[in-house]
Amino acid sequence: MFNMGYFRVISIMLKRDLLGIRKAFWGNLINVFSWVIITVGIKIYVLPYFGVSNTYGSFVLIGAIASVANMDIMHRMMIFANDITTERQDINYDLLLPIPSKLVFVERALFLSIAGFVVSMLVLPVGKFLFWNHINLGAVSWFRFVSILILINILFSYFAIYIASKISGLHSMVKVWMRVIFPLWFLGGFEFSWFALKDMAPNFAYLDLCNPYIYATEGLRSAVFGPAEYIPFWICFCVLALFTFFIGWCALINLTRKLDAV
Amino acid sequence: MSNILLQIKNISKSFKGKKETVHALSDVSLEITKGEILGLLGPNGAGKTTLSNILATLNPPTSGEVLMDGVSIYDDLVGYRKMLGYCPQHPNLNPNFTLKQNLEFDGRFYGLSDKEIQEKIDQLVEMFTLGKYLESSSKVLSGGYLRRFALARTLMHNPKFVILDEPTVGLDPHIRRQVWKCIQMLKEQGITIILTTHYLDEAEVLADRICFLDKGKFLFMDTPAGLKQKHDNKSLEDVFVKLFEEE
Repeated sequence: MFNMGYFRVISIMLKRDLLGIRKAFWGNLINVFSWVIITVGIKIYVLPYFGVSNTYGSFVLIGAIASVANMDIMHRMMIFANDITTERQDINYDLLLPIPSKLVFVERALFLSIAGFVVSMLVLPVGKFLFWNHINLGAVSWFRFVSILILINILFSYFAIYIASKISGLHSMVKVWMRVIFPLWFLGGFEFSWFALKDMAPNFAYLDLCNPYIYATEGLRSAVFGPAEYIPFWICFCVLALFTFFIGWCALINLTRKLDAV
Repeated sequence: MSNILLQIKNISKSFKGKKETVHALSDVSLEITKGEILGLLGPNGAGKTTLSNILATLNPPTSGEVLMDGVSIYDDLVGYRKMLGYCPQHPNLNPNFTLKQNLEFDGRFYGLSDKEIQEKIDQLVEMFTLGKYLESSSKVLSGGYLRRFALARTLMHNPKFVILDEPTVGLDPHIRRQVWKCIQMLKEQGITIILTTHYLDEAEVLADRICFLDKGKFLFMDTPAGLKQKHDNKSLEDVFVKLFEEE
């Protein structure tokens, strides 16, 4: 049974973890935005030379929001995975706190989600500020945008914990990055829409519907540009919620098993 | 009223490897008395850390039970954790905060008020003479100070008993003596201590009773004096050498 005491402990853990990353926050933001600015800038200013529409930049900017959430969360996951595959110093301290062990993992997912949300939320305003005339935000639904971004960050966080529960060290981290995270992200519609993929390769497009990342990018674009050319927002939202529930459950079970926690 | 704090009944722990199952503990039973220092001794792989991890609720046993006041600790895990202090072999202070903040966070986790936290910090700083580094990060501390801060943090929430996992490993002799002093102070406060150690002189000086484990099995338990008497040897080290040479 959940009680207020657990809530208090989790909120203090979140405060500790969020304060703990404040020193690295600006450095991390510079890393992330260097990538966003270069990626989107090239789409806006260079690719039109090859015949690509100059609205493609704003299309990619929205894909970059999900990508930034993914990058930030996976980066922090590696720190977490390093701890649980070596000395287990941080996790062992948390596992002794007066809350059930599974709530320690829930807190970890919440922390990753909040940190990822803060960074990814900044992509849109910063992109608009830098590429003013090229980014059209006339049709944006802020409610939908924020709701799905929160959900995306929670999903990615549980996915990160699931991955952490499956890897056994630095070498397998690299393997998982190259063989799992990168393909999911790159085939998740960062640079293309699902309907574009369906036109070009329908079988592959239907297969890609098993990839949660496609619902993240399509849902965000649907919230920002309207649903006309993308998978409808609420379908994306519901599928992401189902993925979150399923992956979250697997992550908690697997991590408990990996750490042999009570 | 019973003087027994913890009853460990037929605890076994196995780890499934890729090729074979490792039996880290086999059918270990013992009782821990309130207010005592119980030394857990044994060679590498004896199961000391496995047992202390089970008592700390980091890992569950494969079979058997741990009872506190006659009730399984898993019936009220959170309540049990509130009574427990665990000081790991490698001090895990958070390097993102000052040592004072580390202590403050620990107090908050266990529901202490700001006033109680401040009072407890003042008490621990005096007890372990930590004032000099209170506003520093753990990154700047020597091994001895780190260990003392880790001990202090273990005590922030007034635990009933503490588990100290190799508290002096890798420390210089004079710093080991300082840590011993700290452990003796805990005992004077009535705190029950489970001490896993490799150092026989440490167990001899600190422990009221010593429990010998080997290859996951309970060998025997006695006071240091009783052990020496039974084995007609000069020091605990001689007893230890004799015991494990006989195998």
